[in-house]
Amino acid sequence: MHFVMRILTKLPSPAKWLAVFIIMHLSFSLPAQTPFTISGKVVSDNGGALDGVSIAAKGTKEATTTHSNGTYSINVSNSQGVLVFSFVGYQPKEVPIEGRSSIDVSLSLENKSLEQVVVVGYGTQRKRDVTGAVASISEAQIKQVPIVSADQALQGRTSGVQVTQTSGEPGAPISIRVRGGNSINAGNEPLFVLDGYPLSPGSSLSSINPSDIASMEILKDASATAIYGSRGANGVVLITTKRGKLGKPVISYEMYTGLQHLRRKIPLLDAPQYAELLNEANVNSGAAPVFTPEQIAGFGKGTDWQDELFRPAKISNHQLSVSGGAENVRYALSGNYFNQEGIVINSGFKRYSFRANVDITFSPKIKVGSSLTVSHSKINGVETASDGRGVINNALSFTPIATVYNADGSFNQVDIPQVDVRGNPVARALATTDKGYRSRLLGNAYIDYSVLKDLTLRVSMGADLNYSKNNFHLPGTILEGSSTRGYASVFNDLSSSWLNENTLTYNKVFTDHSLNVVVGTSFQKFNYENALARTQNFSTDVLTFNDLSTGESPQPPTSTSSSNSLLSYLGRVNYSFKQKYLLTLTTRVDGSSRFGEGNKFAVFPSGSFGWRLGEENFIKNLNIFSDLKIRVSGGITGSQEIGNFRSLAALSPSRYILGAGNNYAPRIGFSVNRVPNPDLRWESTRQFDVGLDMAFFDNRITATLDAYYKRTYDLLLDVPLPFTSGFGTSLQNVGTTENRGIELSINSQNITGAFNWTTDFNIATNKNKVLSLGEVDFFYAGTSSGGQKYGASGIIKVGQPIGSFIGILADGIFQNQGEVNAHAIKTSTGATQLIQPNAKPGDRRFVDFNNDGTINASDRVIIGKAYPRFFGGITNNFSYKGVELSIFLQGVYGSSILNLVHPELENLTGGNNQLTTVLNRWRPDRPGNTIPRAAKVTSAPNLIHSDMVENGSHLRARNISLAYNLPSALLSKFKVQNIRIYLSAQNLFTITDYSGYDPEVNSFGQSNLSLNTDYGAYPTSKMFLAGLNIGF
Amino acid sequence: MKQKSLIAFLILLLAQSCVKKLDENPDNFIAPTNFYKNSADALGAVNAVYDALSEWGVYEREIYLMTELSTDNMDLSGRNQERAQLDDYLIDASNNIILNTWRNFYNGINRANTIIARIPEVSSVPSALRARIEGEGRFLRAFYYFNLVRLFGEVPLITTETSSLQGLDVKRNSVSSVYEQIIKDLEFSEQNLPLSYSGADIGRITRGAAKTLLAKVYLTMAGNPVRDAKNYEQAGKKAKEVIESQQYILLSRYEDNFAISLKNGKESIFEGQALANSLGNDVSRMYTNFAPQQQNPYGQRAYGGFFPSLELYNSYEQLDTRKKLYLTETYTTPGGVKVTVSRPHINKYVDPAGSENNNSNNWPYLRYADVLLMYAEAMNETGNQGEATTYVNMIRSRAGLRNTTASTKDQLVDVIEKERRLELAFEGHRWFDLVRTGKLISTMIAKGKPAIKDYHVLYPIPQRELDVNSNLSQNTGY
Repeated sequence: MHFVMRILTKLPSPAKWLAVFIIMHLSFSLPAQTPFTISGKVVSDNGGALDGVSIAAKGTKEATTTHSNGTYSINVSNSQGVLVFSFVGYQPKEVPIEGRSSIDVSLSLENKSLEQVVVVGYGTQRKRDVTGAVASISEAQIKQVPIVSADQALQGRTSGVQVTQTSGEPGAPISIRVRGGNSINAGNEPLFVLDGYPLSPGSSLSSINPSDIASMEILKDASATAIYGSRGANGVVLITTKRGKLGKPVISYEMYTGLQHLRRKIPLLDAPQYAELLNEANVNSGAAPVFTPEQIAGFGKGTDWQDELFRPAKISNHQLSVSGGAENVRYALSGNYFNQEGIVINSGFKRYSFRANVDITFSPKIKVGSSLTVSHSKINGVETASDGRGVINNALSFTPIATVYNADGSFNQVDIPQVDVRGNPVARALATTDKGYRSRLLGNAYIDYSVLKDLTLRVSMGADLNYSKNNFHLPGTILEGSSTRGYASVFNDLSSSWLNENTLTYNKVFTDHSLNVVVGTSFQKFNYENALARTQNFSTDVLTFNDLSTGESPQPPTSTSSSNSLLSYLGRVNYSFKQKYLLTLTTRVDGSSRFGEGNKFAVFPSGSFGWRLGEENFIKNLNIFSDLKIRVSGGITGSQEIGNFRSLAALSPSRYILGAGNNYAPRIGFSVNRVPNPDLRWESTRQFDVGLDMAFFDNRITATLDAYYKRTYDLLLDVPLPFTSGFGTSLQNVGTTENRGIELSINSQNITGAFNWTTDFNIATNKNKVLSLGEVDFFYAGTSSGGQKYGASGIIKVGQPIGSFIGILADGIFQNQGEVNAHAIKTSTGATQLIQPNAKPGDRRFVDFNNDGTINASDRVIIGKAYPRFFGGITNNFSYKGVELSIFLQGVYGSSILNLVHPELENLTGGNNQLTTVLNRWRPDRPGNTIPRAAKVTSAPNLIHSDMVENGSHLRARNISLAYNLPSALLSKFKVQNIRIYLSAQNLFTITDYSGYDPEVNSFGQSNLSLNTDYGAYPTSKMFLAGLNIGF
Repeated sequence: MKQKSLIAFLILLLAQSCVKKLDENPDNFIAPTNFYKNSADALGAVNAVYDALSEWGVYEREIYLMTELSTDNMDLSGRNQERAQLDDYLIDASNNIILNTWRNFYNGINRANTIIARIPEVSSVPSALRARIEGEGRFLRAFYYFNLVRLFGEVPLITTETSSLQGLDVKRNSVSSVYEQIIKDLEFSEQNLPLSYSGADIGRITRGAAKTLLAKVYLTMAGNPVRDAKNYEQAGKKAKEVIESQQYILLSRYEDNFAISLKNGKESIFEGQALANSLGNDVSRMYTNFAPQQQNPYGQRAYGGFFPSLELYNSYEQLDTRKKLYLTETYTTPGGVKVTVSRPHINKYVDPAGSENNNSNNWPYLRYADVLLMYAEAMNETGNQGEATTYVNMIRSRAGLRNTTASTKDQLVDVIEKERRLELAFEGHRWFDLVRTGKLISTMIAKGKPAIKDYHVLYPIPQRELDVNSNLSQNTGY
């Protein structure tokens, strides 16, 4: 019998159970031993009785389960045998009987997080063996919040990963910073790798269906990211899609549908309030009032432009998937339809996608497989450009006196004296066509060949093909189209990348040593082509973009084509000794076509060490930790996120008009556009990380604490050149930045049992600092753009963080002429010089910072910092029987927002609509110290000032959901595996002092030089959903 | 087994051994080594030097901000901080208008340096064309330096193409050495450029343009800050050569100089070209900037950003036909609204067919009327009051005015100066004229700009340039 058992333990598990079954049926023929009864109670660590624990005498068919009070009784044939206690979610326990008739047992919760397998670059690892800083996001977490694109799922889930939804426009890209921003001019977004395929930077994740994702891993430190070498410095996000598992087909249908609303309306003046302001501004500027009291009385409330522009918008998602597997083939197929209307009229996003993941085992030595995504997205855009002329700005600024339409049904274009000429936002949104189509085919196939027992060769090939087309038409009948008398364009864009990777993986376990080695090569080529055709001056708008030949002034068409490639050699060794001492060494050698001759190749090494202290007796004896691991890592990663050919000089075209009559036309000229820089090379980041993975109370609480220091040097910086050279900047490897921070994440199982409560919490802080900029100490950066011409919004300065806003300091309101006169300096001749000689009582007072007696750009100081001091998230999940409640909060503390809408809405000229705060404007009879007086022309200098910067701290209920899983007893009657119905709310509340639509904003998208700047960005919405999941 | 793993490893390496893959094959741009090979390339290279006239919006905005807004000719509407600095003489070295101008001229200079060095070496280009192109390049280089030296004083004099990152921290050169180079370049141009062009080349620099600019350079060098009176004689000589070239006439109607349909006409010597509906820098924006914002006569969107000063407007005699180029009358908008403007608007650059920031108005850099007035001034200064009177009267009579009664040198100085102001208003001459005649400070104090100081006869070197180049120094006072 012992011999049989020994053979059995060596069999694979399905075979083992089959054998056990056979042996058990055979065993009745063996001589029976004396029956022996054992009873007792099974509890969990915290003392709660466990119901339904299965208990079996090892090697026999003798088995039972516990009752609801945790008690059991079992008859065994061998009083010297072993009892096996097992229960879902708990670590199984084996107890020798040793002749006892009463055995009480307590079971520990399974530490899932430690046994969990995580995906790392070019392989997988058990979480317990990971020596780098790697965070995971599960399918359940991804599914909790309805999202357009996978990157949104990172928000608030992982410490040290700051995600900003810069625009609420469906399908708009978002901005991600893993451990702060390294680079000033090069890219700062992490590398996304989908099923092993590194996506090209800027590649749209919205064309990938998030419902297909099984897990996401975020690689944060150099040890984890160095395997991606030159693309690793900004962190790496590995996305793994679902694959088939052995078993009969699982068919599931998932859907949700819901409504989105504008999160909050900005309080604005109504028509009479606006008219009174305009009158007052005129009177204060020595002019006559524009409106009579009778006219004002006749305005009614006027037009609420926010109500006209925004709408409740529908969102829906349908997904049908089948997965399963037979002996040799496993598959996962899915189809998805996603439709999100935008809360701004005539905007939205639609996606149709299909995925097929297949794995085939040809022979014990050969396995092949592929991942394939096909998707088609349609984007209906609306103008929210950061130039201040987008529909959001115009809806806020447009005078409430005006109606949307004229009596004849045409769009109203206001031409009222004293009222600023602005585009009617409803006309802009409805009359403009801006339709984008994006088709994507992303496929990756591999073949695995077992060269030796422990050695596997993998060859993979893949392609990512993106074709997009954008059709645009701006009719000449609306204001924005009047200067071109109608403009239409068609833009085609083909971007592709091709990948070949070949890796050899060696896996070997010797008694105390275990070794995993990966070596490989990789080649990826990126191609990009586009063409733009455009015409203006249309006599009819009927054809929109469909026949560009009907425009009378064709504009020069443009086209570009470029490519770049990356050739790499990579290697990694994971070694562990006694499963306690862990070592990882990684190197990637990357060669990039983008750099100068002789600087194409660079080596990115890293090393890390982990010590599983929890396995050491001196830690075990402390009885504090149920597990403890310390990790130390260091390494170098890089960035090559610049355009192509930047090391070479090139001739670029320009035009000058010459000739006469019909031959009076632009002539092409060519001039050199760059100074060549053959020394151009990689931007590199050195990172050092110390981490602790801890578990307490039998793994009920796990915590990860990391501290890191990153230094980025040889920055790819647009170094300003003296303009006397004929050039403005040159891309050079100059300057250094640092990021240092601490990250903490805690997962806790607060209450287990029938009622279950878990908490996931994470928080991080990152401090960014510019250490050097080469020959200069600072330069101005960032745009405030638009008609305001404020100039640069920020400064990049040694000793200060990236994202520092710059402006003059506002210092309240002049209450009387005495205060204006007192705001003065004594000149060298002893004369008194007024600092704001044109100011009147009621105007803003500004600080003459450099004491030169005048307010100008030289008085600017740092007035805010875009990057937050802390950010994080907390999720509480409650479940009882089939009911689940989840509350996910996410927050940012200590960030600043430059609100460029606000000064326009409080400019008090009467030229455009204003916030209701101006009802408290300064008046001689109503002094105040925050809102200046009304005036047609302000004495304030045209500079950014400190009142435009607001606190961006916020705490938001990202998701609250309530779900009910129908009981399986009921479902089995209908041959249904599971039914889950749920209701959820996104952004239900946001606690913030920010006065704009949303503190999560950037009109400049992913820019690192113009961070947190709100100039009429598309606002995020509040969303309510109902969903249904059925599995067969 | 070992063999097998060896083979696998070899596959791995061989698959990616082709390092050639990393060469950049620039298929969407031209490298300098593949250019400057033939006549087409040479023409393309010189066209880009012309293009620098219009880049960054300099010729159709920055130029008049720095040479008209900052004088008694123009008033500002609105409170754009950087424009107000020029208007009020509270000028900050970080003013971007000044930076744009500086940047634009040096951009053109580097492009000119490139062709001056390269085109003479291209043997496949006929030698006459080579000389012409070099002449165009040298004229434009001189033109850019002439603006720089007048606006900023001592400026770095760079005559070689920038081709590496070394040696870019240049020093300022003396005013006289800059003028020396300007004269040298213009003398080359006047010898090598044709009298006129035809067909697709109309608008290029002519011999007459080179001589006109030389006259202007000498006239300027006779005044502040060089103050070498013997240059009057040279100025008169060059102006006379232009007059005697028989290429130019005074148009009978003053306003025809600015009509879009008559651009590059017989009175025109050198214009900045513009054509609506072409790309960004090839359109002009004067009309959009000057025309009334609300209730525009042509229903276009305009800004009404600048006005003529009332003092200038009132300086025109009642019968002066040049007064027509101010919008004062009552007009009717396309929407049928009758409008009476509250104060005169500049109406020199009108484009009824244009639209917002999309106008076809050329910028008149050099005009024959200017040559006649320069000649008159040179004659007056060299003691030939009779000739001076004759020529200033040509301008007056075209404007519908009686002959001047002035006869003494001093009287004629004032008459010529006033005539230059009225004739050439908003064409980018006023500030230069006030500086070289030493009248800027008194004029601006009279206009009610008390902040102006003696040092304001030069603009500050842009702060950005001082920040990136430690070899530069700031003009005194700033």
